[in-house]
Amino acid sequence: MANGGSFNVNIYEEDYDYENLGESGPSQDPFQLFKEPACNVQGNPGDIQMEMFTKNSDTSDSESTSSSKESYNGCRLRSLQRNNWSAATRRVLSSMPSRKIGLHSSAGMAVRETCALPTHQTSSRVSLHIPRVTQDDITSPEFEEISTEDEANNLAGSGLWCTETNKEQLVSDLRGLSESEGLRKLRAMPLSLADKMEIRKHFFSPLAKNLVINRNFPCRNLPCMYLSRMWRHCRYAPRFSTSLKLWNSSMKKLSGRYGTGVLSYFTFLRTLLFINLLFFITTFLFLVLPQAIHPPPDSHGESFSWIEIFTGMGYLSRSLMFYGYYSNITIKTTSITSMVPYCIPTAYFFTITISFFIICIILVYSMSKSFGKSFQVFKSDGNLSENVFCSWDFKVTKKPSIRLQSEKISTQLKEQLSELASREEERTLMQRFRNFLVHVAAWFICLASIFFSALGVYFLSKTISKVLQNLDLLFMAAVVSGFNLLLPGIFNFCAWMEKHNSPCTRVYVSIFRNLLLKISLVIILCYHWLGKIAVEQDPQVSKCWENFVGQELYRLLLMDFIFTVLYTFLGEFVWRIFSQKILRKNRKPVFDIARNVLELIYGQTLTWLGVLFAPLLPAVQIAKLFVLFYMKKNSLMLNCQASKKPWRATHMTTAFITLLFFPSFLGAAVFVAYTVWKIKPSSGCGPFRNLTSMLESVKLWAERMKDHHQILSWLFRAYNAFTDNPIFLFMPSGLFLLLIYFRIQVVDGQRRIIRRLEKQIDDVSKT
Amino acid sequence: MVSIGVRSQNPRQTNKNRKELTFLTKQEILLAHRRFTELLEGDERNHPNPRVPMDAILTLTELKSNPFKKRICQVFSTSENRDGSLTFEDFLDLLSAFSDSATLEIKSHYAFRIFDFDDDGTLDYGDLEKLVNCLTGETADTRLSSEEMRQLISNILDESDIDKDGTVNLSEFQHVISRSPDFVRFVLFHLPCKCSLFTHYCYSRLIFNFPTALSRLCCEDYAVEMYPSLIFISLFHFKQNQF
Repeated sequence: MANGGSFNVNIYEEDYDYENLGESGPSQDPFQLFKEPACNVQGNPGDIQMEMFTKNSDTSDSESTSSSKESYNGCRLRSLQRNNWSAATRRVLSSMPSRKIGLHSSAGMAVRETCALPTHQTSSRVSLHIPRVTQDDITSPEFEEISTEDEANNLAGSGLWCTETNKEQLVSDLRGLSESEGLRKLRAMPLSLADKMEIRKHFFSPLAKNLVINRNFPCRNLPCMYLSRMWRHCRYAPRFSTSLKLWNSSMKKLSGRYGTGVLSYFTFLRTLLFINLLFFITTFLFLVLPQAIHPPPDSHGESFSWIEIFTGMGYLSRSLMFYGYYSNITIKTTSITSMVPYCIPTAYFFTITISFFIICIILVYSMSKSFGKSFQVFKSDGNLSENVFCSWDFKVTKKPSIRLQSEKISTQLKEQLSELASREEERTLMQRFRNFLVHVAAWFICLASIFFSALGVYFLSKTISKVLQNLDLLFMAAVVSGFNLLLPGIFNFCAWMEKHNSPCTRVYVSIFRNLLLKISLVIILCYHWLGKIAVEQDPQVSKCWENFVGQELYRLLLMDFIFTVLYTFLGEFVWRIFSQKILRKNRKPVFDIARNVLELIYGQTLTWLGVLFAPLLPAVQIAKLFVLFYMKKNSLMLNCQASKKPWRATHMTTAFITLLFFPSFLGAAVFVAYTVWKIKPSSGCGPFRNLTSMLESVKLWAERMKDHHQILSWLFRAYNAFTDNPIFLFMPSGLFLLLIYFRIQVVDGQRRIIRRLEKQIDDVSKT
Repeated sequence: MVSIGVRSQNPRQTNKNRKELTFLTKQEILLAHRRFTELLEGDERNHPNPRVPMDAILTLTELKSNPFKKRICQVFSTSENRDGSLTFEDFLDLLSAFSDSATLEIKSHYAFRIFDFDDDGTLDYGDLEKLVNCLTGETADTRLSSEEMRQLISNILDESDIDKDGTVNLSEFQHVISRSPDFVRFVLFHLPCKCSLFTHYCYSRLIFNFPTALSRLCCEDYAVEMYPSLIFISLFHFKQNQF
């Protein structure tokens, strides 16, 4: 608190001195006055925060500070009196993004400007005639560091201080920090390298030599020196990890040529690969490996034909790939497991459920991180200024790509301007009615096609009752993948017909329609499996329905991959040759990011659905993603051109991760939970045979273990108490809801502060 | 070997300082050194602190087609007559500001100065107009008409000019940037960090003086990446000695 006080007092003293020097010009007022209301309103967040908790309405301050006709002396006095902000106030203000940057840079500009003023002999670059910044700019972002930066506050805005004194001040206040801290701050200042090296010389001069000498030779012999240097290099070299990342260089090349939209697709692919890798490692270590070491006694080798790779029958169905292979024994034979018996059904259950849980946490975490990046406290109407300031991609170096980028930016700006203009003009009733009709027709077509395709799959699944052989098994999977491939074409046609106003809406609508199609197909299939196959005794299923479901999912995954390959080949490669040679057009096809991402999500959903019945399915998905990366990359380079439409990468990444979590992962989790809880496992195969549900195996195991181990019995008693007593559900939920409410209020408070600040600045600038 | 920018300290200390004060790694500094010396004429290489004129800098592939190339050179130049010429340290400043690991404040600061075409410390109507023209390119169909330009700039000023003085100053600019998560595109060079480049560097140094060069290399912070190249080089030197 005392820090805050001294910070405040310094400002107004220095401001007063600065005023007295008579160097105020018209251009300097914005800076000064901009900072000044900020100091006034700093009281308000404290009020808002306090209001929430103590219900004291301290309206006197807020009323008086909102009036802009406040006399300069009056506000100065009040700020002098207000010595202590609460920690909450400081936290709110320091967490506003625009406060974090701009402070050091202003410091840098002040130093450089004051350096530049006397002579040109210093190596500063440009003498800016910017208004001299008041020294409350030269504070650290975190208010906790105010005490060490107080000295910097004394770098008064007057140009009469000489160069050396300024540098000395900066050096002296840097000296208060530790060496690495000081270097970090110096590095982040926008000064020229020569200036920085000079400051560093002063900063380091008395201590540096000792430090350098001490650091250089901690031990006399050479290997020790190598090791210590290597250790230090490993610790302080964050670059090393980026070179270890998979596919980093190819992705940089792609983003340079095609932009960040395409890059987001490939980043998403890489994320999915790592998630699958995690899943695969867990299941492999805890499930596949123990079972592989102890194969069940009734397995016997069978003839192997290549068709079985596609259908999953025959040899594969009696391998580690599918559920039916796993036995319900407890391994006690090896030396380790005779002490700690390894129970396969329990391992199966726990591996799958705990992997799902871990992935849930990972997805929620990445979703929240990516949402936080794109969230704005106070969303303004348009983002034209963002587009103008931030949209130029400096990585693009080739002339045609630069031309393309200019075109893209120009199109985007023109579209946004026309959108703003059209928002203002009134459209006639006839035009609006016609638009409405077109929208209705398009939606009708899309929904009808989705409905009919779902109906087709439903009837197909019911009517295929005879036992199928070999490649006929693939028919169902081919039909589903065919629908997934062809219907998005119809959706694109509808979108072209509709002519949405903003490209964002178009992308969202097309994503929604695609998603609806895939969800409906998957739901029909799940209903068919769980509702019919698991319950009835179907002739084609023989004795093991889980194997059948696993095989179906495996076939779906494979057919999806085959159809993707076909589409890439036909849709992109052949189409390009066709359009160039025969149609004589120079337009290459455009890489449809939304559609490709949804295909990835669909494949991942199938993997998650199938992992309970085919534990090695993540391995198949990993192989598929690997091949897909190289195939898509090469197809992109050869056949496609960069899209002319703008693509807001961060927002879309958030949307994709949300889609991955919400319908895809949660749907799969619900499916698995329902299967585990309610469905009776088949009696002929698998680790859960002869039980009423898969969950029951855990209960039985718990009963068995309870007598042997104290901790486990305590754990299970706790678990039973947890699930029986509803209060353990209500308390955490209540806590989460309270937390969410608190965060909403904080955001609301920030919004109010921002509005008040803007109004202040507006009023003050008018005077 | 050309030594550029050697001061009273030895080059190693200078390089170390540079590494600590910029956002570049040592490999990137060495690579930048190489690119910079390629731009020098023959007789300039012996100069203690050579300065490359703007035309030579603009021949770099990364800058050749960039619409902001002249502004970039002018902003980072420390010459007194503001002609856009760069010394090696200016060049390092340029790379550092445009590197992946530079902080947002550095990037936004330099972006502001690059966009400030008339160097008056604020972005007024003229600056914004030139900026939009640079962004949209030179062909007639991508350029905005004057009506569209007027509308665009008035919208930009509505959104970003908080104190309503008709210009965008540094704080307002940084406020807009901080809201946009896409500003990470302010990255220019991708200096590849591959072991092979370093091997090349080692090789070129080692031809002349193996023991001191080896000790000097070992004392730098490259130990981890260096071992494969060390083996290669020691083998090569050994082979050479055999002849």
